[in-house]
Amino acid sequence: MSREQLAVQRARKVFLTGRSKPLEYRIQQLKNLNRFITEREKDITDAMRKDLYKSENSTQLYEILGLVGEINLAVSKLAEWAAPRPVSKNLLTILDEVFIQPEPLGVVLIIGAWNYPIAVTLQPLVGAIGAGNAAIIKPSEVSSHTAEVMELLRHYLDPEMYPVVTGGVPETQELLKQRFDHIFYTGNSTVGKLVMEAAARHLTPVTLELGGKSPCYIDKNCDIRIACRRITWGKYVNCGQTCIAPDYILCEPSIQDKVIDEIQKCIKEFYTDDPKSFTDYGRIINQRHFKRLMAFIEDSTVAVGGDSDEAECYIAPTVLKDVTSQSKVMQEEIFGPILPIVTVNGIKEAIQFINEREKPLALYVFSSSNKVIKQMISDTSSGALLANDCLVHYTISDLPFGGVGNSGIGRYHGKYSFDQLSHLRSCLIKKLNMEMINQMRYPPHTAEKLRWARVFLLKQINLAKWRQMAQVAMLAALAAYVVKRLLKTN
Amino acid sequence: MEKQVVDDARTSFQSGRSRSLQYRKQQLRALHRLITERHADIAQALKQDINKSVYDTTLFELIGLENDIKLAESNMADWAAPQPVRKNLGTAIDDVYIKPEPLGVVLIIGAWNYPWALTLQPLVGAIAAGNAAVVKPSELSEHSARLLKELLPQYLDKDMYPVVTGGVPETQELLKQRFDHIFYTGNSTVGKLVMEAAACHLTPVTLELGGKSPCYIDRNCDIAVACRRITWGKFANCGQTCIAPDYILCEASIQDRIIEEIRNTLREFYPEDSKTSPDYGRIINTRHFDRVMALMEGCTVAIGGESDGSQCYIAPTVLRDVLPHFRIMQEEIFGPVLPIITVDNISEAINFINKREKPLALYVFSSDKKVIKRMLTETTSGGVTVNDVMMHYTLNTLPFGGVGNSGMGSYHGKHTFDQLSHHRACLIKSLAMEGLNDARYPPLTAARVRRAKVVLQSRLCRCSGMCVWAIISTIVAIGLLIALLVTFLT
Repeated sequence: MSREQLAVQRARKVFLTGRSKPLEYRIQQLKNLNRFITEREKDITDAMRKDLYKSENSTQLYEILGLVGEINLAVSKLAEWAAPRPVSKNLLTILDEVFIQPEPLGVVLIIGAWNYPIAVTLQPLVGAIGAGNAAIIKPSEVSSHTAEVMELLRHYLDPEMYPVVTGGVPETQELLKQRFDHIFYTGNSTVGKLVMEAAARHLTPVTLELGGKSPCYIDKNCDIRIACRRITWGKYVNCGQTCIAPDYILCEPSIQDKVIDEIQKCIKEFYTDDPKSFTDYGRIINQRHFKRLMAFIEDSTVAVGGDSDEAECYIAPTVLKDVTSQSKVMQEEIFGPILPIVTVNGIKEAIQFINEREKPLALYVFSSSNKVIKQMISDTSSGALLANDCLVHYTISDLPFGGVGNSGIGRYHGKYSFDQLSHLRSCLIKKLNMEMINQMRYPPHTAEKLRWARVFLLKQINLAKWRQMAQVAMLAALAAYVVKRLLKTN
Repeated sequence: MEKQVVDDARTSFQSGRSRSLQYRKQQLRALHRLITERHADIAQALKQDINKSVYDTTLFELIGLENDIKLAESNMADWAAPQPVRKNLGTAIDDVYIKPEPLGVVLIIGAWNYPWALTLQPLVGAIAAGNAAVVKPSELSEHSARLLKELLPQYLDKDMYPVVTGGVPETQELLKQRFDHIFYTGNSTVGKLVMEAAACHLTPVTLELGGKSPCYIDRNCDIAVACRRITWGKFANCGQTCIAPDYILCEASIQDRIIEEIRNTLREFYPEDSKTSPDYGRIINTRHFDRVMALMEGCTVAIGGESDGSQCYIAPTVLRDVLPHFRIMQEEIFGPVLPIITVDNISEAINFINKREKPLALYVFSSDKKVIKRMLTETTSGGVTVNDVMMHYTLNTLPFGGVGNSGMGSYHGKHTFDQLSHHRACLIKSLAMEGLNDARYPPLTAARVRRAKVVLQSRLCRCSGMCVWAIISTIVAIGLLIALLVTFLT
């Protein structure tokens, strides 16, 4: 039996013992995960530096803060999320108990990515643990140092319930042959299809957090300086290797030069004249991706940056101008510090351009005009839409984070992670009395019986509304009484 | 031909006419008219397909559908409206909400056992959510398929909601096309093929499958009532219901009593003879007739067992002392044959259930709350009804769907709308207050990271209607109580 098979088998065995059912166990594991992050902070930041040249502060801000927030939220809300959820009844079920019971699915496979290895591998894990599942954690081998650090999880989490399985393509393929109760994959659409195909063999539901080219439209009616500041930040964080980074800019030709100018100023402000020696500017993950990105630069007109150093996998913050839809850089998700500008004649053309392509994970629009923003929202689709800023929708735990179409299936963050990795079981608890009412459904059938059935089945009772009305009535009665007393005393 | 139909549906969707709520309501109203005006034709087709009685047509096929149409129509504005979410300090003055959007073109593959309900209820959600839909009824219920193909274009926008009839080759051709969601009702084997086909295009799926739904009868319960309800659920539609109680688990001591009660109930339901009763159905075709007959091989018949191949008639049948390795326990029965398997106690029953695939429905009959609790907490299933069968299907506030081998996704009522929508996360910021963003820009310092932490980990109240009402009413109530006290004291 392979190592992967063993890990899955053991996880399933341990899950079936029921150990992860009690909320205390799950909360304990989540708190242990918190401890891992705090106690191993140095190991994590060192690994990030080696893998992606991420500075310590960057790691804190972009990887750890969000994760800790998710853990704390899950710990404080778990009892609420895991409790039975009552639903509105109809006349027929008015005396019954009707609710949705969240339950664990079983064994979840989490396949992480290399760009934010801690965040995108462990945030799904928070949901898996919270929902009471076992989980196989497969960190990306591309961010190899971080993968090594994640193996230390066995000293903090229940190692049988949440084993870490490292390895490359063959190990992942072996894992995907096993049967899971849910597969959570973060990565690209090509592999996403293979994951879903493998899942189909076992009828395993999937969450696919994929990517694509996230467009960024800059309207000529807007504070271009501020817009460019926010875009520059969003683009070059982690050297452009962010699934929701603004991939390319769409704007009218009349403002292209101003946009380039402002971005250039911001690059200088954020990363100094020499980004290569600046601690908060990252590196490309490996040679393969470096070469891929250099081909984009060579194919287009460089307006800002363009310099590189292959030995260090360094590419300067770069802007390309007058890019067309045929340019190499427009054929795939960039995932690097290269920002092409494609000129369009107004919002209609921009919308057309966007709709000709796959639905993106994020869509950005910069404008002071509510009308423009509204039009962009109603005439396009994307995982998420952010007006007048980049990336920050990721930090709101009450917003579902996920793609649509080619950019993904399913969503998570906050309670969504819990729900995504639970089975929401419909429960109807009746009693064995009141059998008379059931007469209308039994053969021999008559028209009279049918009439009764219609009455009982077609009416929906909204108990919340009735309760509200009763409260109003009581308050009104109380108010009337008080007023009467006051009048009497006076 | 199939490709053309899908392309036309996509063109219709892209015209934008399904976006308006008016249009969607109009289509739903038309669908409602279809089922009310053509009620007799539908009943006739069902009679020819599966010998369904007029009563069962109304009760099982059309009432639920009517419910869903009315619900969607009256709630659509609510469902389709942006839902505000809780913000944090960083987004306190922004617009943060989730906007439901259409997915695009949905493929609905119906089933033959409840051809109208199972094909049109998903369509209600597809229409309400603003999608186009290609409707593929099952060819096994050929009269209903033919009637649907004839009627739907007469009532609904025929380019937006085309009907494609045909068998396996036509379905395979459809599955090669690209959809934005595929909604399949049927068996697990084909379910896997559907998901595999969907994986090629990263199309999300809802699979309403089946399995063997267990029915546990505790010795502490009103066995007469229990058996009455089970008999109704089992033999409705001649056992061809995805949530029919597939088999009974009970202690040996009550097996005879159960058989006796079922026999009594059958006499009550079909006083003359089930074969001549207008309320008793037939097996859909010869293939399934032969299949169900073969399943009975080697079993001890306690009730029924008679059959007539020329009519695809199988009498309501109960088998006793069935053992787990018998053929009848190897697949979903989907016929009017009810095996009884004896177990020593509830623990054995739970083990028996858990050794098998997760069922679509689970039933437990008991007056003992402890027994019910154990059964619910120690097993899992798509849905549960306690002390009755199938009724959780009738409440559209409960999500209806399977888990594991019995399916993925859920629908009914608002759940269908949600399943066939994309919930787009939207964050609308202004270009002002740029000073607040300084914390995130490089050069990053520990102080900046700390500031970001405070902002990101704050959670503000979401001012929903209920919250506002609760606060106001509490204040008013306290005010009144104080006034009351004052009047009593003076």
